[in-house]
Amino acid sequence: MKGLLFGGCSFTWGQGLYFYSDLPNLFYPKPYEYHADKLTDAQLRFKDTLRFPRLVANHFNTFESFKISNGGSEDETFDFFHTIFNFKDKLDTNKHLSTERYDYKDFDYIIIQLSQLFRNRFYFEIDGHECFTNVSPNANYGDYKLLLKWMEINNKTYDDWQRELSQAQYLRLVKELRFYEEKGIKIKLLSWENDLIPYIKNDEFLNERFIPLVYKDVTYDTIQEMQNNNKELYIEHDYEFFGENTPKDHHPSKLCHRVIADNIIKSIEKDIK
Amino acid sequence: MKGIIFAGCSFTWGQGLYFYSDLYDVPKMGDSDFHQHLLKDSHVKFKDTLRFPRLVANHFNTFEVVKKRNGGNDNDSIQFVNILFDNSHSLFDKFTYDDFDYLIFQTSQIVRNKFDFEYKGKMYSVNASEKNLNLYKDNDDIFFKWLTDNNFTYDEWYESFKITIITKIKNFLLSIENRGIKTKILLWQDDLIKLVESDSFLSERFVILYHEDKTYKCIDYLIKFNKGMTIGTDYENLVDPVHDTHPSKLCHKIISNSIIKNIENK
Repeated sequence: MKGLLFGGCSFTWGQGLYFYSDLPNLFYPKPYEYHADKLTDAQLRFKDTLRFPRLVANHFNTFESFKISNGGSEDETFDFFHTIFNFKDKLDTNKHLSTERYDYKDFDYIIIQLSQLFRNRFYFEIDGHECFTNVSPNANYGDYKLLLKWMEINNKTYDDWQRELSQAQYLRLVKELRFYEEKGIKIKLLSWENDLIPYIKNDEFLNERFIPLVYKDVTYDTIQEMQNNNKELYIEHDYEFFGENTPKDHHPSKLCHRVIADNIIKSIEKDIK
Repeated sequence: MKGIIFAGCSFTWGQGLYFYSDLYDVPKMGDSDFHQHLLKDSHVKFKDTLRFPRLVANHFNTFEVVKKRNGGNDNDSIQFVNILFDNSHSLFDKFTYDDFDYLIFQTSQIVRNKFDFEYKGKMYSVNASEKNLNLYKDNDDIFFKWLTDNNFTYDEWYESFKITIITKIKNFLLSIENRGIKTKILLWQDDLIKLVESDSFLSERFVILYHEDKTYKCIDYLIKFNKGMTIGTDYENLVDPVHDTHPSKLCHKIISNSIIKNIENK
């Protein structure tokens, strides 16, 4: 098999997996905090060995590629893809995403893990000016007040905002995935949260590429649903490994990465057969 | 387990392993016409997955650190490890001694190490492996004059140079062990076997290679006495392989299994 290209957020990046190492200087942040500057190169390399991209690549005896920076959204996922395929002579471009460069033919599969919908840019107009936000109107950080203002002016509800954002993201997803499939790369899709699930299920193209997650004989549409029903799949609830004093981290546990990897492997193997 | 450092030459780097990929555009470079800049990221990342450092690291569920540049000699390997812990080199990843449990040191060809000598008040440096290729010809002439003036035959000089290099490697490994990292030594060629076996520190850390109920004291012997151990002779897995004398995919697997066995038995 050729390479495997992964897109996703901190769930794919492997946030928190360094807590499973024997390495020194592990920093334990408060819940929902992340301090990139507290991570050592050794910790970063260690977490790469446990995250699902490496597990899947190891299974197929090939290599994986994923962006350098933690977190992100589909906006960043597609920026990352665009960067590695299009800036061969500009290695400084989007260095935070990747310094690797590829041809489409270097990969057999793209596996995209969808992140939280609201992290993607939502474009709107206020007083003739184009604006965007990448927060929820329920947030109390970032440009959420701008979004609330747009909603007030245009008499939009939270549901209206979510529907418009979902529709835009769904259309973009289809467009991008079709583009890469036309380049000869097969696509797989999995999701952290459920916002786009109805769109995926109603679209034959997306649904065929969607990977529901099976764990203990139960099938889940999202990583979130699987984690909520099986708390050991959160790092902060992995008492078996950490004992009572777990790191306060809601990211997928080592076992969760294994479960996700196994589901991706199964889906790809189905294609091969 | 914490991380594992692998220091070595093209054998550790995994030269030629990209030929096992399904990638469409691997350049057909053999031993004599290798150019690292012709390899794409995909070729490099693919070969990383098959080389023995990754195989060993995968077995122990940890990460490996290998130098990015292909080739080199024992001095380069020592320098590479030292740079890992030197914060003044901002271009490289930074580590502490506590980040690692093991260093696996694969020796390269002894003659690749530069030999410095003084002749008529001037310092010279010779790379005796390249002597045969007629490179650095001027210095080589001076090197042979130096040998004559000092009543050395080439073979006598070579014996003493081997001791110089293995002593340097041993002292380096000792310094690493003093920092809490366990070390192993793996030999490519046979010229250091006796010196390693006769030294209690080195012999305890010596990785013997196991394959089909036989043991081999260096990679060269493994290659010499078994079929398909180089890329250029791996007809079972490669179609029309190029002339590449680097370890085959199977050879890397055997080396990794032997390192794993050595680590697990100690």
